[in-house]
Amino acid sequence: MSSAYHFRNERSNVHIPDAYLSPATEAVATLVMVPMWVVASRKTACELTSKQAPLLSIGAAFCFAIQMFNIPAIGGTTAHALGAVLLAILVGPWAAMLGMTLTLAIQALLFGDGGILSLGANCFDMALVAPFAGYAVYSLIAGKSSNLTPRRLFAAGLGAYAGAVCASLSAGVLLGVQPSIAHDAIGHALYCPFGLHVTVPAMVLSHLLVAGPAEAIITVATLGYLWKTFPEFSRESATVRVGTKMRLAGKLAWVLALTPIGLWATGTAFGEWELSELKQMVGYEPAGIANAHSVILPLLPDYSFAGLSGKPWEILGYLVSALIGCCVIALFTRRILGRGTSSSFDLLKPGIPSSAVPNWMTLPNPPVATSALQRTRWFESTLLKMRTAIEKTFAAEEVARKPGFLQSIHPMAKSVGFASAIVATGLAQSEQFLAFLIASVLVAAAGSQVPLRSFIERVVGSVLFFGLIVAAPISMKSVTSGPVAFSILGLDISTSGLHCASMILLRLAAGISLAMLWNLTTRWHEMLRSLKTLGVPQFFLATAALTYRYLFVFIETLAEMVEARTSRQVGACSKVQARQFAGNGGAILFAKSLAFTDEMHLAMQSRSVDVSSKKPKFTAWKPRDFGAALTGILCLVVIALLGHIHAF
Amino acid sequence: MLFEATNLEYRYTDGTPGLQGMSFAIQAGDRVAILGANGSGKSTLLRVLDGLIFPSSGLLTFRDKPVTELSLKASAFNQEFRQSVGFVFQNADAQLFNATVQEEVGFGPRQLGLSEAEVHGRVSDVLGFLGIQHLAERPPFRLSGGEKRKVAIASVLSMNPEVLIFDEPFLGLDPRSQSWLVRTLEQLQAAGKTTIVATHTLDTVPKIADKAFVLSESHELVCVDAVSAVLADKQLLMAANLIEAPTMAVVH
Repeated sequence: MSSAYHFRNERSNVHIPDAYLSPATEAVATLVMVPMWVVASRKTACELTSKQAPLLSIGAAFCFAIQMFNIPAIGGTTAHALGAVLLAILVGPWAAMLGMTLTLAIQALLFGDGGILSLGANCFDMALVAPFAGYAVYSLIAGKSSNLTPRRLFAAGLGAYAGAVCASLSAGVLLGVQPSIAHDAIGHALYCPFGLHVTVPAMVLSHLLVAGPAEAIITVATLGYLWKTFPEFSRESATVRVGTKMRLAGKLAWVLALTPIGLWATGTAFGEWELSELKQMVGYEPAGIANAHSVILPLLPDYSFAGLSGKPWEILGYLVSALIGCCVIALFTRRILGRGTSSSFDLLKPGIPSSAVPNWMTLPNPPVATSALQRTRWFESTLLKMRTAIEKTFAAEEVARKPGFLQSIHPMAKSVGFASAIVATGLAQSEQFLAFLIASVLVAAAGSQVPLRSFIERVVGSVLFFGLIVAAPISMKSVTSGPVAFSILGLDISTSGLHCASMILLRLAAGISLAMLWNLTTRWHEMLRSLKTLGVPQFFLATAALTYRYLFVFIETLAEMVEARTSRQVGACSKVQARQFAGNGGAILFAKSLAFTDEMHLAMQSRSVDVSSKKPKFTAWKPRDFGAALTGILCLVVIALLGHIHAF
Repeated sequence: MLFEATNLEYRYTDGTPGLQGMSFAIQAGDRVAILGANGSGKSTLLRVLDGLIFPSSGLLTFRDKPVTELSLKASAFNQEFRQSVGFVFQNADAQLFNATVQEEVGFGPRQLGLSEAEVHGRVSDVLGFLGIQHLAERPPFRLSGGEKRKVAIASVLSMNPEVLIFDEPFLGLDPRSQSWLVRTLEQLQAAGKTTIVATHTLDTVPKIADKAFVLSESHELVCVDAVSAVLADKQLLMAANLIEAPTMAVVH
């Protein structure tokens, strides 16, 4: 498999792709987010000074970059941080919300990652829930303690942990309600087929044990380093008190106690609600949901308490997971504080070189201890793969510059056309229509000089990754009832199950290929301009433009850091080293880029670049632009008609 | 033979050439200067020599063993190669990825599996040798340009590599620091190190090298000769766009 899949796979643990949520859920989530974005823009525009505005862009770009640091977690898995709570602590939760929204928007629009229709839902989880929940926990525990105290750092770690877990809970709930709200007449799920019993434990437990601690480690390491080296970030004077005991047991216990209570509450609410109350509310129970649980629960690796049924065991499971997560954070905070605080060097006056070459430099190196050689190489290979993937993704801008068919279409027309077609994909319930749509996308891609092979490879890779985990169980007879089509490995595959699975895979393929073709054939600044005409506020777009610029800086810096490390890395690096590199790397990346911002901001000013004064200049639409827009709208109309026919 | 290259070709992912058909040999103890205009492929060649990127075709050997992506995956060769070849990047900023100068300089020796006492000894020796002991506790990216260059050099020297590769080491240094660097290079060469320096600062070349590789703007190796001979060949230097061609007015 090429590195592109790897790249995508690693960073999609909370990102919900298109075709997993019903269009109604996506619409509701977006509607909830719109007033939030308005408030956040106003608040941020008031609170941030003009010099801090680049900080927001940097923050967004940083969140983007930090999601590329893989941290080895338990059981050979890796996890990455979101950076949402870190950003909230640095610039405040409202600004963090905008920063995360920018990150997610760029991922969706530019990198085809995470889904375009589901952007609202993803923002709800990661731009609203994560920073606010995390920041609340952080301020609660930190109180009025000064920066760099164990208490404040621990509060940041716990806040990050809570933010990640809450975001995963919210994503789990959004996914889990799908079978209840979106299914066909005979009860077959149309979108995510798993109920809350499956999605919530799967998302929450994996975040309690893996992604949450990763988030906390990155956050604590970055903040610890930033507060130490950039005292201007500190609100109070920074004092390093290393030996102080953490007297937080009381508050910690309080927060821990909240975890199971919250989950117990959701447990009763959703557990009963889903199958009995919902049945009364909706009038019938979707078939297959109950069956799905019995089949899928044992398949989920993280659901370690599947064998022990009953509420007390479940709560204990969450409690133990949370406890393990908190211990990791506490240990890590101690390590961060204990490191490099005492100097064993005699600090000499500057400029007194010892003129001679040290003696050992004239001798050959002693042989390396064998223990240093027996290490895994996964870290290096992950990072190098990531780099190749980034290079490939940035090659997209090259494609957008080619004189192809779609490149010549008016960006507004393209937005209308593609957006309609993607909505149509979400609503479609006909395999033929989706297959036809995919075929048309391929024809259009060929006509737009998009390298077809890598395009298909990327689509297929994403579909397999996102789709199989859902499509494979849904095709089984025990989940989706119906006549048996064939048996494989002793599992009966039903014809209606096969139909459901192929619908989900096709919808996924159509959605992903449409989104990918859209961002491959549209240049970023054109995308921004068409968003402006659609009424997206200028403040947001100006920050987005800056973010895009910083993204290149960050990725370049990141690539250079990896290369520099490779050059001096003897053998492979251990998991501990990898964790340290991820923690420190995040902080240093941020600090380096920060040192660079002022200069860049000034350079932009000196060339009188003011993004806000630019009015979008668009040429008039040509007939083929109308054609392109109409094609997308036509897709929608066809879907509406098909649905109409279907209904009768 | 330390390095031997046969027909090295390198192409970037978008297909544009970086190196074209280069063949050369570098022996232990050589003092090599790589000359070429901006964009002639100097940095690419150095990255290939350090095994950071790999030629699209052709063969590079280090001590008669091929340097490829696969061979560097083997622990024994990786270890031998990485501790024998040190690379000082053009952008000193890019090279520094640790939290403090002492961690930065200690990173390499720790990789070699030395004891903490030995690591500490090496770090303080190298910082002393370069005269930057006072920076030990500072974060590397908050230093001045010259200090960053010194820390970058220190971080490579502490690994005690046999071959030292420098990419444009004089770039952005004031005249005093430039002559300091020339003296340091001479000391290292006297201690038996092989040095490969890419530069377009021609006036320092005779002091730091006796063999020159000239790269053309078409990314080819057009000349391998003694430094004195290359610097005397104005036609060659003009063809490689290293010096300006005389204007028409002068010809008149």
